[in-house]
Amino acid sequence: MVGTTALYLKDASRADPWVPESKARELMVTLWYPAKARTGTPAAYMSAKESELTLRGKKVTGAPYDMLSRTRTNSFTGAEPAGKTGGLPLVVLSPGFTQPRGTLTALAEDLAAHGYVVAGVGHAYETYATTFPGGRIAECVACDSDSDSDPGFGPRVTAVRAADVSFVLDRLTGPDAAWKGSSLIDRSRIAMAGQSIGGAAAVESMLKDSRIRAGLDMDGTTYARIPKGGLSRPFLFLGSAGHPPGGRDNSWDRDWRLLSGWKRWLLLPGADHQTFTDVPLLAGALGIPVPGSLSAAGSTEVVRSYVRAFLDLHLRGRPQPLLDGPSPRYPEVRFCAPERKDCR
Amino acid sequence: MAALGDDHARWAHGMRRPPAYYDGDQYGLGLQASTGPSGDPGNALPPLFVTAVQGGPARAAGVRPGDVIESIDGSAPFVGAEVTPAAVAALYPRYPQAAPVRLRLLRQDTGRRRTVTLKPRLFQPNPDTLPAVTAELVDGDVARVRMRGFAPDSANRVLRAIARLRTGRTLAGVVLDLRGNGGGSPDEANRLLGGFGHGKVTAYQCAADGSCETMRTDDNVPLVGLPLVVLTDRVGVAPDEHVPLTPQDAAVGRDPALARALALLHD
Repeated sequence: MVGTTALYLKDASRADPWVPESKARELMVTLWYPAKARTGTPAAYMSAKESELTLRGKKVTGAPYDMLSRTRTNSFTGAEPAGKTGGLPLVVLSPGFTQPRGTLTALAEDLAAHGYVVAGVGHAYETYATTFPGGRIAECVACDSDSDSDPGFGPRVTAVRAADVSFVLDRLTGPDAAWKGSSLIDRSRIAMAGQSIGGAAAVESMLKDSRIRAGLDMDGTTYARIPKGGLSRPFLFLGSAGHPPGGRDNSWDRDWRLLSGWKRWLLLPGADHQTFTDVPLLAGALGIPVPGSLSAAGSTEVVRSYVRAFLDLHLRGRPQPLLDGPSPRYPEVRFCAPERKDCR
Repeated sequence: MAALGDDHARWAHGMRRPPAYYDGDQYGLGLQASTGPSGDPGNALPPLFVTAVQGGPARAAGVRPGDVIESIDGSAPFVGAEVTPAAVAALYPRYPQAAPVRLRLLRQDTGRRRTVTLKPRLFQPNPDTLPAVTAELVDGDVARVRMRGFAPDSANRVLRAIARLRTGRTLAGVVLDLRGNGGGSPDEANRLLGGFGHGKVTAYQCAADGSCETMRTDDNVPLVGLPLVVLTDRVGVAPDEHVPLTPQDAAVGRDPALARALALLHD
């Protein structure tokens, strides 16, 4: 059973980086957590307005604009959290650029069902719609920029996200915590994962915040400058066909040499950039093709399995043969040796 | 290349990125001068001077905007009034060119001359100087928009930024800062000017054979309806030589709100 709740957090220590006339950075964070029972109300995937702004932004026209507000989830808003004090590891999820945090729901619910508290960060003004209390909506101001005409845009976004994540960790694990279940979180077991630029933000966040013990990047070109001394905490690159060693994007190869701890570079040649999100599951209802050559259910299962194996290994110390080498269960996953520019 | 008759076009071959490249990094000496990499034959005026220090070797050597470049690897950038394109081009090495470049510099305010040797390398420019469009509210009611190039969609970005800054407040005017603007698409310039005037000629685009095309404001853009101050510099004028002539410009100096806006820029 999975419970969920949305938190409104306000960081008065900095102006909003995208809307500087707003003197505080406001964030919405969705928590998913193990619940005692199916109490509360079934959670909506997103609001009708968020659905409309997201589908318009993505130029999806084959479905009614409110479709994503009629999408069911498996979580219950306000359900009582289950767990012992300090017993639950925490995973921060950062979505892709323009994507609402809810687009990682399938992964978040699976992790919560397996005993993780999951914090999906809504980086305001970097997605098509973030709804603040009272119905006020932040649209995608950062979408006005683009990486072609704004060199340095990627590092700018990841720096903003790292600051967001540190603030969220303060508010979830520090004094006067923002969530009533905060005492359940084990502050010594925190990891971060993200899709696309959210994955790039995981590298940046780990460099900026030593509370994050392990990181995972799902198909995101990276921007953070890992110091020459290296980053020794565990890191997993999980890439689609576009991220082979020696490929067009040099960023993972560049970072690989600087990752000095446990590391893996896994490639799913049949995956698409959106395989790591809920998009494969939503494709049918939205009238769009399933991205990549994996099935919708297969995409979700493989991503859930490898992300959870990584977190179980590094936050819970449970051995994970799945991460030791190719598995007959998931023949679509290749283990890469970047030094040899080879995946098998 | 000469047959194209287009001084914007140049031959770039084997564009490669240095392996340690990060998004936003630049390669070179870390400076821009009053004459660009093509030498701008026909337009370049002496003396050659530094217009911007972006970082890297130039910053490390203490080069400053305004420094006059008297020689480049021993060659004069101008012979009389004629530019020496090959000499100027040496200021803008591309990876993997790595030969050091020797400059004799004159700092005009002190009269001091010195020679610096700059070795091209990858460097991190100031991140604040990278976005094509940035907008901020100054003095409570003036939208200051800085536009570093007329990249695709940049006119819409400027107009959206003004619209956003207007939401929930009354603006006194817009300061459009084009200093250092590297130019770009004439369509963007026409679109942006369409926000401040309709039915106007903005430029004449002339080809090598002397035939000229008249360019006009994009009148599909709704008028912004705010006083406008445009800041340009001699160097920053886009290669397309757009001259932002709008009725609002004429108001500079008479309108106290604009005089104040202008004063804000001198802090």
